[in-house]
Amino acid sequence: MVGASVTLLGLSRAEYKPIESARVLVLDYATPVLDVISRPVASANALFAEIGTLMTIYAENERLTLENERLHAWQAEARQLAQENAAFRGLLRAQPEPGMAFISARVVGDSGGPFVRTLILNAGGEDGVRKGEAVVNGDGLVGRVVEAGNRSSRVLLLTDLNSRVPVVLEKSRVRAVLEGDNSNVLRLSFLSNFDEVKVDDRVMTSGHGGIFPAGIPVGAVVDVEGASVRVAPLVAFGKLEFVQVLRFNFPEFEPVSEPDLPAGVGDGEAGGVAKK
Amino acid sequence: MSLEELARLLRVLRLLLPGLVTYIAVMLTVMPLGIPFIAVVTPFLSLMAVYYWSIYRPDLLPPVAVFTLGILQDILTGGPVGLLALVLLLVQASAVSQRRILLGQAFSVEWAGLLLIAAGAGAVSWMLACAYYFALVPPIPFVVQALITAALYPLGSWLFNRVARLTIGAE
Repeated sequence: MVGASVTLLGLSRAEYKPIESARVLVLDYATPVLDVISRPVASANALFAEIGTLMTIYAENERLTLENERLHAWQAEARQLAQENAAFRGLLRAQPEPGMAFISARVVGDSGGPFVRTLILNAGGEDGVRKGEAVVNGDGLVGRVVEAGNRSSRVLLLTDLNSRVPVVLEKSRVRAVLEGDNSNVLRLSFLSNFDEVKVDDRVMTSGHGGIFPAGIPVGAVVDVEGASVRVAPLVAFGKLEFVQVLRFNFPEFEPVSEPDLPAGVGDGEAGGVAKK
Repeated sequence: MSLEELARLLRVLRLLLPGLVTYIAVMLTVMPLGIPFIAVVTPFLSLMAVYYWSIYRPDLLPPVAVFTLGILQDILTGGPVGLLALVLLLVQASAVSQRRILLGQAFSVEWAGLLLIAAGAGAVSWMLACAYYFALVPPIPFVVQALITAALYPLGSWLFNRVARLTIGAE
């Protein structure tokens, strides 16, 4: 038995295909069970949360009223900007952003172990979830799908040791890679410029690498110490109940077939650029 | 005749209880609990169960069962396949080797034994995780997990005791 465990560990490390498929299969079979037993747990959690909110309901109402006023102002501004944007895009003939749809799923499992930070969702390939898709909730980026079965899938959280996300700082547009280390705080590495990084800078996905759509909020810088920049995520990973899997159609480089092009256009443009 | 069969079936089911309890412990480990602190690192419930049954009824939780449940937990938590199976087998081996000493002692001795084994399991799994990922995995969660597991053992042991009574005389 010990030998078998060690052998499996080795095979798992080598990403041996049958092990990967077995993982997905077991996950698929275990998810309905988890789905059933996680429901009362979720209700109990909701009850506790409700008791918590009852105590602060007055203060919360006041805060929300103020926030609502502020948001109305933002909404007016956003509408105006959206129109302006549309007009400018029209003038520039900019490429439209790739289309996006989402699939909502319930969190039925949470790794809980000290090695990994993953979630199990009750939606899989049958619902349109594919490996590699980004997972978000109302607050921001949660992680990405690393395994997709037929009716279940596994999400690697941002905080996991193996999570790497290309990000950009909102104001300075400094690019970096966001890394997890199994703790609740994230780290920025491969920063293109240290000097412009400040505490409270907002961090969002950059869209580089084509895994995540650009502009999903991720977190804010909380600590800058020389080369070590720490980021607090926006998502409360311990309290996730429902998440959305983004079906992001990353623009592929589809070669345009020759007959579609007016004669000589391709050559002419390439030649024109070279001459400049 | 059918009544006799039913009685036999019930007896077999009672013998399966230790395995079933350990299975439930594995499933509870991956439940998304909203409890602060515990939500991040959950107690190693299956370790508690394996330790308890190794002392009181090692015959009812054979290594094959421990291995299978360990693999299940590995897959559900999304970690390296075989790691927790190996750790749980080591827990079982060490608990079984010490059961002559632990049996019939005060609860505090059994508890201290669990703390030692949980700490040892934490150290082994941390080293295995570091070797597997070829990186320095933060060790604090392993320490926290061992402590939470030890803190919850009195409750776990009480529940297992209830179940253990049901298995008596089922052979």
